[in-house]
Amino acid sequence: MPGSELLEEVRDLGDATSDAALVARAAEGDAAAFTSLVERWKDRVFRLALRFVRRPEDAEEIAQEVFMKLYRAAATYRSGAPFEHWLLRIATNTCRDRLRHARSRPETVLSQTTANAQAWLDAALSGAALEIHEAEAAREVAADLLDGLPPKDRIVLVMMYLEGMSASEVAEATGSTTAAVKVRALRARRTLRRLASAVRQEGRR
Amino acid sequence: MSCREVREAIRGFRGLGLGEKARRHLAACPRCAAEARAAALLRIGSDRSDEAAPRPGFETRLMARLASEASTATAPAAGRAPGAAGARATPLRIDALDRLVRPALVVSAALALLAAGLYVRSAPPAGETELASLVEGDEVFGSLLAGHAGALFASPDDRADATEEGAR
Repeated sequence: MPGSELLEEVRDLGDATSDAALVARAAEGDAAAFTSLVERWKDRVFRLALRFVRRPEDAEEIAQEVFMKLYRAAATYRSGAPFEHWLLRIATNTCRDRLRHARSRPETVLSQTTANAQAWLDAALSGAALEIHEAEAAREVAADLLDGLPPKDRIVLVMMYLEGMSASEVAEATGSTTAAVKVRALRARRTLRRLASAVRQEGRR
Repeated sequence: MSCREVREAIRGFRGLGLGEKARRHLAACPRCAAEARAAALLRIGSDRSDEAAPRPGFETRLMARLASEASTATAPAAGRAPGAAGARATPLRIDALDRLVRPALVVSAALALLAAGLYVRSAPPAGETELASLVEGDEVFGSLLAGHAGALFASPDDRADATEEGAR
């Protein structure tokens, strides 16, 4: 086979398995294409969801919901936009809806937490090494405190500071503007500092 | 290390630990220390393993849900659910059922309506029957039908006396 033909075939193969091509085929009812997309992206979506919920079963439920929404909306996908941004938009919307039901008040969380757990979290926030059970208790309190953040703030914080995305990428994934994301991140970090400081004060009482 | 450098290090810090220089800066700078605690709170509260993955069979469960959704929906978004053979077969089975069952339902409904219509037409109207039985047993209606309007104005006692006299 001449080199140019081989190159053409490889290019066709690459196009046929691109995310955009798979979504287009899934929109026409191609089961194999949809399954390929799910296999390719399920871990990404699951791990993102696991940032917001504690139980893996809940993260999996979110991931399932994301792919069901993706399937229903497959026909509306425009290949001009990166598939990952489109997928992340569906995922962040789904996580946000879930977080709306999980709001808690930081004062309530701290008042209901044992002095030990608060002291362990305080130590963890200062960079101290903890025993496994201490780290687990500290993680629980931290997660409870983060549940008190407005969902949109929490999503921006996680995506920028833990997922390593830029403000413009977060804007694309959340359907916002870069400026709005930056302002939200600034405000959310201020809230986070206040929460971290409250842990120290409560822990010393 | 400057505050800016330390804060960049904090934001890039994902559990790998800060260097000695950064830690010295944090010990002397309350603002950066507060920033580091906030970043740690976010990281600890949102922690998860980079190896985390859904349980095996994720795709199968997803396809089953989509198939179930398609079987309850009247018109699936893309015409048919993607997935394994089972997922695809469900909407097809529904199409076949639609073709056979819907006309049968229409014909049965039409027959039921026809039968009900015939029954109503052949049976005497319930209202008229009840009215006739009332008239037959009622003295006032009887006298009115016989052309005597007097019973209409007589008191029940007078009517009872008249009945007794008639009996004698």
